Amino acid sequence: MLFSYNWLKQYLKYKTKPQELADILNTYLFEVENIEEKNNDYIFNINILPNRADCLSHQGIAREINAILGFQNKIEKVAPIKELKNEFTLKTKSGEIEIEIEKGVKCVSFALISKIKIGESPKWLKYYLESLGQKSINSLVDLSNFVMLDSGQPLHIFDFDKLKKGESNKVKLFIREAKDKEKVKILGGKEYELNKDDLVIADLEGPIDIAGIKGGEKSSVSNGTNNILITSANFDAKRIYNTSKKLNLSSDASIIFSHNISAGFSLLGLEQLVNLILKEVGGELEQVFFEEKNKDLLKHREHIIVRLNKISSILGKEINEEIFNKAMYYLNIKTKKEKNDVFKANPPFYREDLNIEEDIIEEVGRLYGYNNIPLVAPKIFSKRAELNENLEWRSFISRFLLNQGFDEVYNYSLIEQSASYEIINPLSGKRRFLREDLIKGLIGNVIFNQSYFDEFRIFEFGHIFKGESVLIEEEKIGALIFSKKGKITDLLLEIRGVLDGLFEAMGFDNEDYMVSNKDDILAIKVNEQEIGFLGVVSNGNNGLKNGNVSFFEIDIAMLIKYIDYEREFEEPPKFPAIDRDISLFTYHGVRITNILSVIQEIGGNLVEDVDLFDVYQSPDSDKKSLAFHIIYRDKNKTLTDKEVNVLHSKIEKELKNRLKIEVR
Amino acid sequence: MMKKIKKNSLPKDFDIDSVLKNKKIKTGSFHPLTQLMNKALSIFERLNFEVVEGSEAETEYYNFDALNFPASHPARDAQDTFWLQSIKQSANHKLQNKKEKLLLRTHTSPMQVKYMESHEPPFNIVVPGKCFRNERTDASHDMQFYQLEGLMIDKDISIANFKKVILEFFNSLFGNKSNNIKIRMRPSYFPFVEPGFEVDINCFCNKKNNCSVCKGEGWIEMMGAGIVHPQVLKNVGLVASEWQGFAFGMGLDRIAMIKYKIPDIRLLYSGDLRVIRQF
Repeated sequence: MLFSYNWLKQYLKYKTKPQELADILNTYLFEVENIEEKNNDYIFNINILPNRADCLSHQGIAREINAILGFQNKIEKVAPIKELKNEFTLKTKSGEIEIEIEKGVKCVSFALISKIKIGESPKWLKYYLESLGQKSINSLVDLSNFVMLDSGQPLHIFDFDKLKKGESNKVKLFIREAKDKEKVKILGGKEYELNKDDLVIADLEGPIDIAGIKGGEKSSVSNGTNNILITSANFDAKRIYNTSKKLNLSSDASIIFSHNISAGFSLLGLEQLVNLILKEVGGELEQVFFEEKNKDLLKHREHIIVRLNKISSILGKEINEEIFNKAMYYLNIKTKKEKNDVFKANPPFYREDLNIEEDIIEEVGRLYGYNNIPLVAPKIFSKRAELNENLEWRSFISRFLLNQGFDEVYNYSLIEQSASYEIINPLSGKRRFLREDLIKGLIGNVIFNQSYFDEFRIFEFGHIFKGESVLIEEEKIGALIFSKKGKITDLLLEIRGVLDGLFEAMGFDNEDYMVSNKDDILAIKVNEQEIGFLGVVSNGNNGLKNGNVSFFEIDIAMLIKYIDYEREFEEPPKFPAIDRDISLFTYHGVRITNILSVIQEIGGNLVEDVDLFDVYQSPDSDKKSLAFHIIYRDKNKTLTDKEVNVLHSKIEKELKNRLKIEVR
Repeated sequence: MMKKIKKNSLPKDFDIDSVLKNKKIKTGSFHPLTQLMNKALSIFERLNFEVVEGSEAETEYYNFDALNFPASHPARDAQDTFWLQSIKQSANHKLQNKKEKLLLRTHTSPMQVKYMESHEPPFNIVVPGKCFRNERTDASHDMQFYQLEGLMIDKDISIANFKKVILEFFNSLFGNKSNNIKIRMRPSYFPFVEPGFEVDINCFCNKKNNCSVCKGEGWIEMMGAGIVHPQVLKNVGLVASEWQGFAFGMGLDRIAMIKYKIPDIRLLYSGDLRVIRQF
């Protein structure tokens, strides 16, 4: 929100340069985004924090500056300027207008002024508004805007003569929920359709204002206006917020009401505007309405119990009674000592953000200055923090891949292609769905990078989203090899080689995972559980211009679940091994895993290792040529050639019998 | 031993230039965010923090309600939210229980709540993770970014303790012999802490007016922090009068951009290997 330095200065009894003021605000109150020199003034753009509705005004900021300066002994007392004292002196005056409040209003007051002459605004008024980037419209509208920027209270002025008169020429106003599909045309001519969630101000004919947001066109003031009705109300903040969001219609007023400005300001704002209009525009005050009981809205709020030792404990710095009382005094918070170190603190009416002890502690800490709090090491922690296993393994895997020449990329979780979950309010069609895998993103990276590199390897860790009625989120590792030279089968072997290496490094043995067909990609299984997939994309597909891709994607949780990293010493073999090769033809899609299990079963403990070292699939039949290398060893003695020959022949025979294969 | 190694084992016609055409083993690069994250996490691990992680899709309850964000209040607007629905139940989201409404987390703070719900204090945790905001993208804003969140709860953890821990962290992350990090704190508001503040560190530019990072102000905004709000402690089932501690959260993308002088946040998610390989 924009603030004029010259405007603020009137409320300050201390001379500060603009930069000094900005430093004070930054350190003790709110962030000053920037200062702009303009019209012999300095315009401060201040980020008002969302819980401080009381500061959405020049008076509000001035109150705070005075509190800070007072606490720092730079000024004597809170500045004795009338507005800052929050005194309400208007008297009610009866008249012709009646108001009926049905819903959504904490407080409403109004005044009727007759015989006014609208004209150009006085110079001082134009100057302030123009400095803040507001266009001067006419003296009436400008004054209303001025009071809002000064006191924080939004007000609305109706042309009294445009309101519907009822019996005996009386005007009746209603503040109520809109009827279903009720329409209001606002200032500027745009029409909005409302329902019972929205509040309106209506006369006997219908809505004349979207309450707290924008006035209606029908009853707006114009240069010919003679008699005006000024309304000042405090509307239910949540309703104003919701209606403003729903209609996508916001105004200075709706922003202030949404932040839940204190209702007391509606009385103060009315008085200020009435006095200014009578002074600057003229006219006669015909009627003033407010409810006497609402004067209580200006009283200090319910007390909060505050303990000095709690303040000291939270700040980590001893705060004595003197410092506490001083902070409270300058913040206009009344205190009463209950017993030793315990106080009752009553915040002023406008501080609706102060409700619990911690809120008061923040006020003390803020004025005292967080930068004046010392640095204290926490006491030694009684528990040792656990290592995060997931993180450790992720780091292990990524280091492994890095050493294999893989670069790490980060992709967007939001994608263009349709998937199980979508964003209800997307920024663009390109980022509308939640990714279901990492591979598509990685292939996107290939399409980008293929113009710059002939080959590369990349990987990504990330979350994917799937599931129908219940959203399932899983963490995956995806990796990919791209090459313009490599044949697709070579790339597939290469990525499998990487996986083999990774699995071995993580403590899996080769036989713990196997690759089986599933659609056009291959499923990776551990202990019969699918933990991921592997596959290829060939040149010309999926946007690949001049190269092939092989990839895998694995579920991190599943991977970690099957890790067996515990190791135990095993005596290195004392006796020599004997190797034999076995070459065979298979038919009818006999699976390699079946062959391996026969070899293991027959060979038993004497088979130390089996390696598949050659595969040839005949292109025009289901005949496949395979070659295995078997290592035989007995842990307890030296095997003889004869013993091995017998065992090897038995294996060959069993393979023939059971799997109908042909030994070459 | 050394004496026994035979010298002159190089071939007689050895050409020193021949070693220039050696075969380089190419290793890959960590993404700059990973590098920064790893460094930050290892600092916190040395300070006895446990690293915990949460999910990126969250419910409105954990992202906002449990963290004391007032309903229908502009405080929620500061965190523009992507709302989620299953395409199978499209347009049905209004029927969902409000607390169960799905969204992409706008900060890592939901994990504070989840962790506290299932653990007894005292504890020190940090939560790294990807977050999402529904805002227009430009050189310094993207729809996704990484946050690192911290939480330290015990009987009497104070702002003074926070200052010590966080200065240790920044000194380990950025400091060196010639640059002792200084911190500055300013009042702020986050619904889940009270008091709440922002933390700046001194810029590395020595207050040059043309500094692109601090614009000559000498300070860089680093994180939001505060003392955990008693309402949040109540929401997770702790007795608020018994426990007290701090929470903080920082955006890693911005820190990475400053540390590595990366001009545009979107480069981090471009997958451009010409960028990644510089790190």
